[in-house]
Amino acid sequence: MSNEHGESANMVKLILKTTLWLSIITIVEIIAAVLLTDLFERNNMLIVLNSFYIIMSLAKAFFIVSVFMHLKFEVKFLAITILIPMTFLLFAVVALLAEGNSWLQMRNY
Amino acid sequence: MSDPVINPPLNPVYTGDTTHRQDSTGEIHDHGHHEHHKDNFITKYIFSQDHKMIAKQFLITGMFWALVGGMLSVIFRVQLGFPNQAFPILETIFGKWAPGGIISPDFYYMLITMHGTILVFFVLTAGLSGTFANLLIPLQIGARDMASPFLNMLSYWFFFMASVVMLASFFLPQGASDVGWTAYPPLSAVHEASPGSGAGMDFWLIGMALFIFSSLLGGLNYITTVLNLRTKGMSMSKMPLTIWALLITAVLGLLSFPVLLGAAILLIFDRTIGTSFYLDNIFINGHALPNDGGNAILYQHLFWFLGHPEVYIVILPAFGLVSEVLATNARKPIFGYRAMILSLLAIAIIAFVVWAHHMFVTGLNPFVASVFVFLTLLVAVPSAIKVFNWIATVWQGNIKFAPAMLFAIGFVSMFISGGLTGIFLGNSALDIELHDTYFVVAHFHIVMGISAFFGMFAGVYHWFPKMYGRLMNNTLGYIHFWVTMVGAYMIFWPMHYMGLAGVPRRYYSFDAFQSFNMFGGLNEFITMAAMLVFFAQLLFLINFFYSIFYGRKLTNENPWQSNTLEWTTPIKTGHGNWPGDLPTVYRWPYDYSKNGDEYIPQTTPLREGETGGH
Amino acid sequence: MTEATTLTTTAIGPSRWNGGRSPFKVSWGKLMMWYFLVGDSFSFASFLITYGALRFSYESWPAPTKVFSSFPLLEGVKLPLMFVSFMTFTLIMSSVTMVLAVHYGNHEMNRKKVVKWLSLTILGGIIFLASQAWEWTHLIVDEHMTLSQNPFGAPAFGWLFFTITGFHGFHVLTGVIINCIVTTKVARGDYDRKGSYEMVEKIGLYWHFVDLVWVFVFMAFYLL
Repeated sequence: MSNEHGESANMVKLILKTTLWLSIITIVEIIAAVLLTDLFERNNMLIVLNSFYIIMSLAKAFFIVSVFMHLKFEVKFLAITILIPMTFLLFAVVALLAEGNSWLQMRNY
Repeated sequence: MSDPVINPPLNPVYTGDTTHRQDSTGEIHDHGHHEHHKDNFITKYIFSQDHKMIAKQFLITGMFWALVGGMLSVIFRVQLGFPNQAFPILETIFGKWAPGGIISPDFYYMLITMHGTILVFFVLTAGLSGTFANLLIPLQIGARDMASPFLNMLSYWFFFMASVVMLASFFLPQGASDVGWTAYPPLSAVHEASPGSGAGMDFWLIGMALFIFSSLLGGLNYITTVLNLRTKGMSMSKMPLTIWALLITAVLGLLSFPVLLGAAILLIFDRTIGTSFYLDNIFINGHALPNDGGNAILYQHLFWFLGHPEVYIVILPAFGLVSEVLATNARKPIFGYRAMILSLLAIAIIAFVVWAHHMFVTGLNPFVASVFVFLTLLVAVPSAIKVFNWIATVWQGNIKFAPAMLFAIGFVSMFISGGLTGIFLGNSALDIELHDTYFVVAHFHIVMGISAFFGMFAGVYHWFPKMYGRLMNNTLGYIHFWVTMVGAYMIFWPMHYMGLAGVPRRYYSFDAFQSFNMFGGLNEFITMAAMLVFFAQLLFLINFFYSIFYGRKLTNENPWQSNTLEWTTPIKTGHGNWPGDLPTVYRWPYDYSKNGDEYIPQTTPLREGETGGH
Repeated sequence: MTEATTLTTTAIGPSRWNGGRSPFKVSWGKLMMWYFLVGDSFSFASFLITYGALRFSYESWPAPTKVFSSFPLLEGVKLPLMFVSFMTFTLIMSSVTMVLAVHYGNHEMNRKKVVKWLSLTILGGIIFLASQAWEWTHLIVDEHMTLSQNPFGAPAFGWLFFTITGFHGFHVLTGVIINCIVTTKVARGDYDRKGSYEMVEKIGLYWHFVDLVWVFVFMAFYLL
């Protein structure tokens, strides 16, 4: 029983730690968006900033899914069945962004 | 100690709770409660939660829609076969839609639109996977019912509501949707674009949204049931191929239908609240629409992200049913069981990365197109594996030519003929010539329409005894098969030649094209063949409904001497499926003609020294 | 007898995949919720992919720091992205309260604590919805960004924003309603009688999913 109690307390600690990380990432993102956008835009480096946002968002998603949604503690194969379909979305994103870009080219002709 | 597995004790009919009791770690607690709760007419036949009854509901609704959808095609074939020839009876029946006995162009487009929608979604999706997933999943994996019988019931009733809405749209003053089953904007997005773009399109969208909810509810149930509720011993590698196919079908539906829902929601917004997702630079009667800045091709991408997996949603259940029927009736183990599963998985994965091959001539970026050509042609590999395995399964078998078996063999023939033309169409360079011609019509009707129908017929003839405890008439079955088989080729084979000559599909008439005059006679021939095939289906309907009430009664619970679990249930299968305990599975389902035994059911334990499986 | 037993065990084997139980050690209800969310992520993805494709087809796109720079009651003061930060924190916090509710339900079956944390989750959801209502009203009434026009640039930004945040808001609203129902049931002691707080866990998954989607909606409209 005491063991389970300890486990429970550990879990709460993990939850609070995750919350802290989510908050820090969000704050950093917002600071970057407010203060650094102009700087990066002037130097034509916006892609660096955008990549940073995407990586950070994926990190937040990872924290939410693994800790809050408890997927880290489920059977690993369950996680695999959930994550595999997401790769289709990745392909769709790449294909449709390429398409969007080609619409722009066609509109400019 | 008597073996409880082979001879289940004849307890009174199982009256326990069919909602699966599963604790939070997923352990099944199946105790045969013996509390009696009686079914009345409504809970037994209408709002039934028994998967077998829901399967019958899906089947009969699907048959109704097949009749309607087939009838529509006969009517528009009249126009194509006998253009400008008056049939006064058409005016008597359809009034303003066929003035002077000639079908009006608007009516023609309404007919082809609804023919496509009805057959693809309502018959070959709901009618096929709805029927057989419901009937076979719990029976073949050894479960009392679906994971959630209630959601399963809702799934049917959402389908029913979708059916009501779709049927109602025929009776609108402006008629049903007439923008093509793919509902491409701007025709589908602008109310004034065509008569059916108004209320007809609204009904179409509502009907489709209800349909999507139905298939999502169904699909979630199928997936969780197969994963969680298999009986003891039924490992994934002991599952019949039907279950594998239905599981993967459900996964495809779960992942692709939400995207169609998204596309439909955006279309509804474009139509009603003034957004412009799909609209840009549209002029109606010389006036520019305010909508600006969207892209019509976007809809096509979203639609075909569903649309391509959808054709596999249609064909995969047929794959499964045919594999099972072929092995049972050839009295041979299925050839390459693992290869069959792997090819199903490969097809499912490829299904999600090939959608743009439907759009080669929309102005797709040529580089993107080349990627899609490569991925599309990959589909040929797993498809060919399946075909070879089916042929190898029948090869030197002790074949029993039951009607189901004939349809299964016919399926393989159709799938080969239709699949080969797919290789032509998958090439973007060839597709420029062939796109939107009758070549495409021939291709997809053979490979997905007729093939899936053959799979469905094989399934109905094979599992009819399980559904109704009676047998269907064989002679009528044989006539039905041969007329359909020959007739279907008579309809669609000539279309290849027309397509290669450049005859475009979806045209109301070809009067304006001198060069297509030569196909007038062929068109007449196709129309006659279509009518013949349509009337042959009435034989099937008569056979089906007559046999429900007057067919030969089953005397043996396993009429086809098959190995799978559904044939271990009593002839009159009650709710809960097995009167006693759930069966235990010891071997794979394809032990036919093994060690001198003609068939060994899955519930028979392995003998001393015998190795199980593949 | 012993022979039969050994035969059975060797034939069936100990793997979780051999039937009679869930291969994932979860009930069918939880599995169904997971796969529903996988499906729903595809509907959100279809919207966000639409956003990406349309955005790439435009030469220029409104800068989020210019569009979202107001704060309630502070008229005329430019506070870029501050209000949406508040909304984001509300949603993160409501996710935390939810995960605590799930935790105390599963580990301690502590009805009081579960009700407390669930109520706070509902409060978070309502604050989020109210904030969104204010933001929409402000954009439509004060800034005149509507479905057909956008003073900040590309009109597509407007309708994409309202459609996607609207669809997300609809999910939050559904979540709040379901949370209210479940909270009532917890308070009534339904799950104590049943001996399992799994329902709290299932709606918890849904609620976290809504938070997860917000991460990407937030990224698409407010950062990129």
